[in-house]
This record gives sequence, structure tokens and C-alpha cells, in this order.
Amino acid sequence: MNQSLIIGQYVPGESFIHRLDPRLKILIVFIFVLVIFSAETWMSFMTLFTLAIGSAIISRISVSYILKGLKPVWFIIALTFILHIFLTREGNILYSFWGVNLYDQALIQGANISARLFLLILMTTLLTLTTTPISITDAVEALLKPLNKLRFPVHELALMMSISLRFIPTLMQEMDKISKAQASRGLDLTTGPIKERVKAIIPLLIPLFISAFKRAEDLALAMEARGYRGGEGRTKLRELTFQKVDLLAAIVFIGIMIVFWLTRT
Amino acid sequence: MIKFDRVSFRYRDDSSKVINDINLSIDRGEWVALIGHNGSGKSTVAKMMNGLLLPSEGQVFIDDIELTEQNLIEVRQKVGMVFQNPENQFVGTTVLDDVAFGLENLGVDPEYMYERIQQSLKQVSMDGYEQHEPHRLSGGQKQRIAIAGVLAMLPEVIVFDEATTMLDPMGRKDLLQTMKTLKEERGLSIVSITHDLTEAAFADRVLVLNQGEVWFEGEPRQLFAKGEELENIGLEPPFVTKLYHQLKSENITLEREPLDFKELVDELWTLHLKK
Ligand SMILES: Nc1ncnc2c1ncn2[C@@H]1O[C@H](COP(=O)(O)OP(=O)(O)OP(=O)(O)O)[C@@H](O)[C@H]1O
Ligand SMILES: [Mg+2]
Repeated sequence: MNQSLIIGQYVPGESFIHRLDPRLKILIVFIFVLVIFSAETWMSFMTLFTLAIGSAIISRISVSYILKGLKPVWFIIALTFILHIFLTREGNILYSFWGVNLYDQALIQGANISARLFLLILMTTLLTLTTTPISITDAVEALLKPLNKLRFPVHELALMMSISLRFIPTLMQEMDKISKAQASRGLDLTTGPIKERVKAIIPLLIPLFISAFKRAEDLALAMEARGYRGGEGRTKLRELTFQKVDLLAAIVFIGIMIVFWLTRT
Repeated sequence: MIKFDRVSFRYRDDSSKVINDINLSIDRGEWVALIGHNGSGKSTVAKMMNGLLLPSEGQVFIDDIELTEQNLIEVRQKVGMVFQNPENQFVGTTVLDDVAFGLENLGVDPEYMYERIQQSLKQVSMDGYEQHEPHRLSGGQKQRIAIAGVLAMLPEVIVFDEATTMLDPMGRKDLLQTMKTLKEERGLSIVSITHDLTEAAFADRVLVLNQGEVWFEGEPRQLFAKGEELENIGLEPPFVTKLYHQLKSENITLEREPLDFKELVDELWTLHLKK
């Protein structure tokens, strides 16, 4: 079975980045993603690249892992770059062949967008590489807590996320079992026209759904038996604490953001 | 500890009674086996023990306090439950999170949690597995984690609803041994629901349910003495008991009806000497 899917992308480690409070990490990535789109100048891009690549180095995650995380998006980055080159018609013509003109603005804008995409993916990948899914869940719950006042079911959302994480491997194992069982009854998923293949998925999904509902029912009962009654009056084993390293990271980040702001335009 | 006073239960107002006017009591430190055919109402009784279901008629008392909607949380802390399917009662993403789940629900101060979790894991011999995810554990190990999760809440009774059914013979033996240790060392009361009469032999007392009524109550030995009658209500007597009755019909009478293989062997090899 696909091991990487089971534990998400998390790569265990003890680096400075790993140890940061997940709330801070999420906030930093969130702010970073917002500001990427206001970067215009060389200097501002350099600042952002320094931050992103610096974090990647400090996280001590091997380059191959990071590249693997980026793999699905190389294509998109390349495509946006090429589209920009062909579709942008501004600025001076740099070069022209077979009646197609290459404008300098096209090059600049293409590079701009591609760099932004790259930064965005790099930072979010770093977040998932250095933070366990469950910590991300905890952090999301903590960060969204203010929405509780608006009756937004924050605790329930976090619980749903963590139960999904818990059951993804279980359901995948089950899917595996069901597909073998159906294959032994002659179900063919790998050949034939697309329409037939899509139809063949139904005998896999229905047993999976039925068993998932049964599991949900059992789980609800087991949770209730262990005194679960919603988020009220509940404590948490893992309390997120904001420590000195987090303060340090926050200060560094704010510093970089100030530099970015000054060099932005 | 747990007392049912003329309890009846129906799932819907217009359906017939699944549990019909039963009285029972479970004492402190006692191991009671609850057996009966499929659909005899065992799980229904179990669910009424910690308020997952409330009786339609009659009352349930836990430590002499009547179980009502108002004291559900205290009751669920005192009466823990372990269910049949090891997979479907594992809530956390890791062992540590799962054992903590009940404590979190009770609102225990996180400072004390780690210690209690450690102690509970040690009691079921699963210390060192804190960071394991459920898909890296066997069914028997998951059942022990379920027990640890209940133990951490410091219960007085644990109800096992066919908790050994989905395990292999080794896993079943280990789990029964764990249950025995808990009873002896922590003085816990144990209610074990089972189809397996061999498992019932571990109990101090056996309750047999038939069609929602208590059909028998007494020591395991007395129950096994019923022989054929057991099969009439859909129960399979253990091998040892069947052999005893077969020997008897061949005019070979053992001095005392054996409960397990050891007793059987002892009876057999001393049989000739006693003549
Ligand atoms: N949720 C429900 N709604 C309606 N009827 C139910 C429900 N659960 C159980 N019953 C009925 O109540 C009766 C007793 O069920 P119960 O689950 O207590 O039996 P059991 O002795 O635990 O059986 P098993 O050995 O199969 O676990 C059965 O006839 C069953 O059909
Ligand atoms: Mg049952």
C-alpha cells in the first residue's frame, strides 16, 4: 500500500522548523502567501526567496523530498510561463521568428508569475513536510477558535479532520480488500472502454460506503461510551505553547516582512 | 455496584420488549459472564449499564445512585466499555491520542494525563507503543489500547461486549489474561459478554439471557451441568463439558465436573487411582 499517502507528507525531524508552534507556522505561511502577490521588484523577490529557501535549509529536509512535493506542480509552473510568453503583447520586441514576437514584458511577467507559484508551493510544502497532520488540525482548531462566537462549529470541524486522518488508512486497506474480492468475481477495472471502467467502480464504492457507515455508527457509540459530549468542558492532551523559539521565529519573520515592504515597489 | 431493578426495554414505543422485567446485580470485584444466543438482548443490557440506553421501565442503579440523564458522565467514568470491533473504537490518530480521548472528555487537567496514560498502558503491557498509529497494531493490541483508554478514566467496572470475538486464539487468551489481572490487581468488576462458554468459565458467576429474560444465574460449573438444555437455547457447551457427559453416558463418572482442560486432565489421570 502507498505508505506516503498514509502519513501525509510529514518527514519526522527535530529541526528548528519542526519544533515551531504549528499555529505560528500556519500564520506565517498564510501571510507569506498573501504578500507574494504584491511583490514587484527584484529586491522583494530576493527577500521572499531568501526566506523560503532559508527555511528549507534550516528544516534539514533533503532536497529530494522537497522536489517530490513540488513534482505535480512543475508542469503548471512551466505552462503558465509558456502561456505568458505567447499571450502577452506589451513592451519591446526582443526577438522575432516565424512571425511570432517575443516581448520583454512577456518574459518579465512570465517569470513573475512562475516565481510566485513556485514560492507559494514551496512554503506550503514545507509546512506539511515539517508538521504532522494532527498538529495542523490542532492549530487550525486553535486559530479558528474566535469563530466559535459566531456559532461556527470549530471543535466539530477539527474532530472531523482528525477522524478522517485516522480512518484514511483503514478505508484504503478496505478498498484494497474489496477490489480483490470483486476482481475474484470477475470484475475488470483495467481494460475496456472508459464508460465500462467507470461503471465497474460502483461495485467497489457501494460496499465501501456501507462499511464506512457501519464504522461510523460503531465509532459514535464507542465515543459516547467514553464520555464524549461535544467540545464543551473538554481539555486537550496536546496544548500548544508559544515558546522562545517561536518568538524568535516571529521576530525574524516580521523583520523580513519589513524589508519586503520597503523594497516592494 | 451495578443493579437492575425490574428493567424492561423496547427500542421503539410500538415494538415488543427486547428486555423483559429483569433483575440483576454485579458486585464490586466480581467477574460476571453474560451469555445468550444472538439477539437475546446481551448488548442491550450492556448499553443500559452505562446509559447508552435508558430503560423503558424499571431502574438502573450505579453505586446505589439511580442512572438518569443528569449523571451520565459520572456513570460513564465509572462503567467503561470495550466493544467487539477493535478497528471501530480507535478514535485517535496515535495510541497516545486514543488513550487520552476519554480523559479529554472528562476535562482532566492535561498535566495529569501523561502519568495516567503511562500507568494504563503499562497495565495492559502496551507501554512503548505511544506513538504507534492504529494501522501498525494487531487486533489484539488495539483491544488492549481500548482497555487502556477505559482504565485511564479510573473506572470501577469494565463491560466487554464480545471483545474477544474478533481475535485469534492467541490474542483471545492474552486478552482474557489481561482481564483477569485487572480484576485481581485493581479489584475491578468485570462483565464479559460472550458466546464462548469456555470464556464464561473464567467468571465467578454466569447470567444466561434467553429471549430478553434471565434464564439462569449461578456458577459456571452449575451451568455446564445443564448439558443438553444448553443446546436447546442455542449455546454450545465447551468441549470439556461435552466429554464429561459423554464419559458419563459410557458409565465412566468423573468425581467432579471439570471446568477446563487442566481439571479434566487431572480428573482423568487420577481416575484409576480412585477406584
Ligand atoms: N438499534 C436497534 N433498533 C431496533 N432493534 C434493535 C436494535 N438493536 C438491537 N435490536 C433488537 O434487539 C434484540 C436484542 O439485540 P441485542 O443486540 O441486545 O442482542 P445480543 O444478545 O447482543 O445479540 P448478539 O449476540 O448478536 O450480539 C434483537 O432482537 C435485535 O433485533
Ligand atoms: Mg451483541
